[in-house]
Amino acid sequence: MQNIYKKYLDEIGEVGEVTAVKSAVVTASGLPNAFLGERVLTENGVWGLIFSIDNQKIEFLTLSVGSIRIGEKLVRTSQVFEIEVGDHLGSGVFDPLGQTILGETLSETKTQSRPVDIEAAGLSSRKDVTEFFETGVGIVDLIMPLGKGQRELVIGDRKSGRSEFAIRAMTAHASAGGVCVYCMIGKRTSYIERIIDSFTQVGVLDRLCLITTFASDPAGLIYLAPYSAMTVAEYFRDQGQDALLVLDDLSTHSNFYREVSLVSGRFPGRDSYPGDIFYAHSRLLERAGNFKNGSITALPIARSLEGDLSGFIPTNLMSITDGHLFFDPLFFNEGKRPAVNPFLSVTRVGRQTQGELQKNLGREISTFLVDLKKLRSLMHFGAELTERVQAKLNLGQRLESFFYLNRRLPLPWQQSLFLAAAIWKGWGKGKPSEEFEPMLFAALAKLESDQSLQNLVNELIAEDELEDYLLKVKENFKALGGEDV
Amino acid sequence: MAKQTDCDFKKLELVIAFEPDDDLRASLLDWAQEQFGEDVMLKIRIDKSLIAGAQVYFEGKYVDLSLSKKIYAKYL
Repeated sequence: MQNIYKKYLDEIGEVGEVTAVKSAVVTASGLPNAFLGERVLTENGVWGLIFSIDNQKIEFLTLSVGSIRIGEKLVRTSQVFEIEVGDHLGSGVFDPLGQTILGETLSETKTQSRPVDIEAAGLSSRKDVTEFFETGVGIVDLIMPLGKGQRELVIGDRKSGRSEFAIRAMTAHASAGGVCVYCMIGKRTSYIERIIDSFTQVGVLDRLCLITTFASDPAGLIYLAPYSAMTVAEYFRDQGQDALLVLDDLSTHSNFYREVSLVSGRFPGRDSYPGDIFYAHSRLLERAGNFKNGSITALPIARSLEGDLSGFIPTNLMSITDGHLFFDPLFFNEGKRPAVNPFLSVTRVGRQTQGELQKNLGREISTFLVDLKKLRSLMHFGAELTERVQAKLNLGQRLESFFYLNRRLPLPWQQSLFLAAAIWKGWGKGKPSEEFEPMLFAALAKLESDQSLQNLVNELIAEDELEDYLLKVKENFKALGGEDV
Repeated sequence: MAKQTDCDFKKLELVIAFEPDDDLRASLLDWAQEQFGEDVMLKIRIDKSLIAGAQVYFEGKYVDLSLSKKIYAKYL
């Protein structure tokens, strides 16, 4: 490291001296021509990133662990912060600097350096979101669909299943041959181990790029993690691939950004966040989208408090993204998994990517769910239920059993559509949830193992009209198991 | 007038290969004050690996005028 320090010192001929160390932010004098975002290196080999500059001093964030003492010298590098990207990032666990964490040997691939914090690509390189993005979660694929290149906020309380949803979406996307980048921001080591285990179990770890930062990492490194992950996703987009980027989570990211901003003495704004917290996230998410050569679908995750969506960071992110999926703690407590609340969720560009069948059935079911909600609130008055109302309630129960099925593996959208259509058309009619759920699980097991049934399900998608499709689904109830209509 | 602290001085740091005597120190300081004004502070460090010449650190700038650098550049 001394050699690298000496090299930059000789080449650039500028030197700085540390004058104050405040947690993750270090103040130094000197380096007259330093610029914002430039990388600096201290004598002891600690890398930093210039965070602010004025006439007298510069401030930089430390990016690696190591001690910095007052009076220590540092050099600038004339380089902005860059990482080496290449096909080797397609699978493995990395830190935001692009270094492998588990110590595995990386295959020799052609790499290129890319700056981490760049301006988003302009309008001319973008195109409309037209392709459907499969998450493998029935309720999302049918009612709150996403498109490739959409930025959908995943918001909910702690422990409401947000990460599980993201993991299912990544499993579905990786199984379909897509590239996934999962950015874990300031997570516990045990959590990261658990995630690696669960990906290993479903067999997709070798198709995922995990950019991880631990809670114990320097705040500067944690702050940079989502930008690094976005750079990796951009690399794969430029290779013509459809990348999925999950940022888990941006609430923690804002907390770390708030920490470094407060420590460096920037004026606090609402909730003590710095004034540019919106810009920090908007310039990041603006880089995702659908491009002419590929797409980046972004699923930033945010935390709400006690089911309150109106917090500062959640509302910021809602206005940046193309909709949000709200993981409602009330739904979670009722045992619904995933706890997506379709009434408070929004998708702005996803619906235009659905096929006619999905769109029409989705619309009918959404309307039905709203009616059902009203009906249930009326039931509190204790009115006697007519047969029609009972049938409606039963249909609602069966649909919910299907939508909130606690399942780890993703369900292909064709199968979701088929099952939802079957329920809509009366499959399992009159059965209470306790009886219907085993039927559903049996049908899912059959769908997984029976190739001819899968073929049938995929063939039926070719129907143009919803009515024809529903009739054909009805004709094939028997294939699903269970009896009658 | 506010008390002048270390921070208010311009710091000229010299790394040389030998221990300077008092005369040399004084003449170096005189020269520095002549060049940069009265408020300059001289800091001298010894590093024998320089062989001869000096490394100069001043106001964020660095110049290596040592013999070792020239030898490295020429032979290594």
